[in-house]
Amino acid sequence: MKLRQAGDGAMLAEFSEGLDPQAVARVRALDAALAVDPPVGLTETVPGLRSLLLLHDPLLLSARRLRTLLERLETLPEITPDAAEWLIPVCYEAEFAADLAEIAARTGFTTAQVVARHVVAVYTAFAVGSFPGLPYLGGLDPALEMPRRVPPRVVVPAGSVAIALTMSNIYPQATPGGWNILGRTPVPIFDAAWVRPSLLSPGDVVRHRAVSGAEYQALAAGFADGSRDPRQECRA
Amino acid sequence: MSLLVEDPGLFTTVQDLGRTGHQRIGVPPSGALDSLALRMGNAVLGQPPGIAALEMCRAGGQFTVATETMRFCIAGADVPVTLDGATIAPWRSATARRGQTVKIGRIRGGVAYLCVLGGFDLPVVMGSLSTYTRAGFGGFQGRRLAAGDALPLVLKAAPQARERLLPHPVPAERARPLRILLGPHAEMFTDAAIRTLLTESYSVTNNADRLGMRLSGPPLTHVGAKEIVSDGNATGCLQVPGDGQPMVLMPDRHTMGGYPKIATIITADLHRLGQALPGSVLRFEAVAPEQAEVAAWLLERAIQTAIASIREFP
Repeated sequence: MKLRQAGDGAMLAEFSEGLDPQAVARVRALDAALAVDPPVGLTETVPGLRSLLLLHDPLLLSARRLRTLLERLETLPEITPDAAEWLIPVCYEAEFAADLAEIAARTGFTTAQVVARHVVAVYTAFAVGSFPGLPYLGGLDPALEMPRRVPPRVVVPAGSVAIALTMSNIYPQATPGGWNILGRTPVPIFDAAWVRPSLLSPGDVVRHRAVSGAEYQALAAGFADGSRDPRQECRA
Repeated sequence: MSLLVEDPGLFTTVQDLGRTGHQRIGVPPSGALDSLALRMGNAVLGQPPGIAALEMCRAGGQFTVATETMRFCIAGADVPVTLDGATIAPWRSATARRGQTVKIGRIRGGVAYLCVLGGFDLPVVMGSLSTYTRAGFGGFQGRRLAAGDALPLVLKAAPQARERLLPHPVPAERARPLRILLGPHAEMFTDAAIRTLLTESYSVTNNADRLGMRLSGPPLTHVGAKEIVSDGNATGCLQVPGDGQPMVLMPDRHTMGGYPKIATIITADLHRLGQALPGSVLRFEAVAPEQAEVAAWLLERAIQTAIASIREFP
């Protein structure tokens, strides 16, 4: 663990420089250990892809004391916190899959093979962030690894399922974005009015299932009129 | 029981002291750019520091009272204010009657606050009334105010009481450089880049909003890689993309980002950053963590001293 001072009210506990599932596990373990008995003045913790960001009130908790505390916690046995499991429907049909043909050309697969490889994988939310509710899902088939698009798109539609680097994601709302789009989910994954506004939390396990355009429309209508609730519907 | 928006100004939103505990799902803290001003405005009204107020960026606006009476206080950067044409001083409470209009002019700084006794009767989203316009939640319908909006008020009438004033706002050392702690990624920059950051000045570009402020000045050179695997952002950090021009992250920032962060502005100076404008010239001074903590304590002492000095008038 490397501790990086990020101002007088923030510290990064870093476990690797690159993307590494083991580092993600250690981030989660440290986060869970801190949640058991949070020190006074620790205002929040933010699990990331390779580090845990600790935000603290410098009037109540000094950087020096936080450092000592973290170094002591590092030797504790690792805790594996509970994780929720989700099954998220994705429609991979052409109208929702702007980059699927390009992904196929780049990887040497047919579009059907790309979809098969994407839909079968079991993903873990390495982090949720950058934007509200945006999950960074580790577990992508290594044969589908590829860089982000340059330049990024000005608008990626809400619900887009896309891949870049070693991860897959879901865009919670229409935003700019550079990931390669291969499908779209009808599931709203963030709603500020929910008690827990993000459907997915760091550490959650996510599987996908392929749905037709017709089923996509039916599900989308149900989520929109409130007859379906993704918090129940998508629980695996 | 509302405050009617006749003219919303340039970018006016409802802000309190921000959201805590939701950055783990990507929700930024948001909240007042100049939290010191918000706290003091609320203190003049004799209410808790985190009551949400209207944050006006660069230009005020015009608001008409549609309730019996409303007590308010203008706080923050210098700005001309009138109530039905009569001048109202900042850092003092004043009480407006139904139909009266508060007009707030051009702000001589970054932001000013219209604090209202009792606050606004708006839904609490994730523990806060702060507006986060990019995702469209918090504050008034998740957006900046527009002409015709009616902001519901908590109080129908201000209780009978003498008005209150702050004789002297907490002094700001305007000429002093903003204090920074180097890091979290200072080692990704050349020694020359660190020297440049600490000796040269950087001006705030027009690309400045509640998410961040792009600065312009001598480029800061990376040693090797110009990007990192994303990690968590703190408000006030200076991230440096490949072109070497730093960007200071503000309260509506992304929760994580992939550019190295050369330094972070200390907590005690964040309120000064909130008052910076396009064209403002920023200089930076490195301090040690202990110095930053002392600065935080001194600022808190100054705030308590100022609160204790608030008195009734006439």
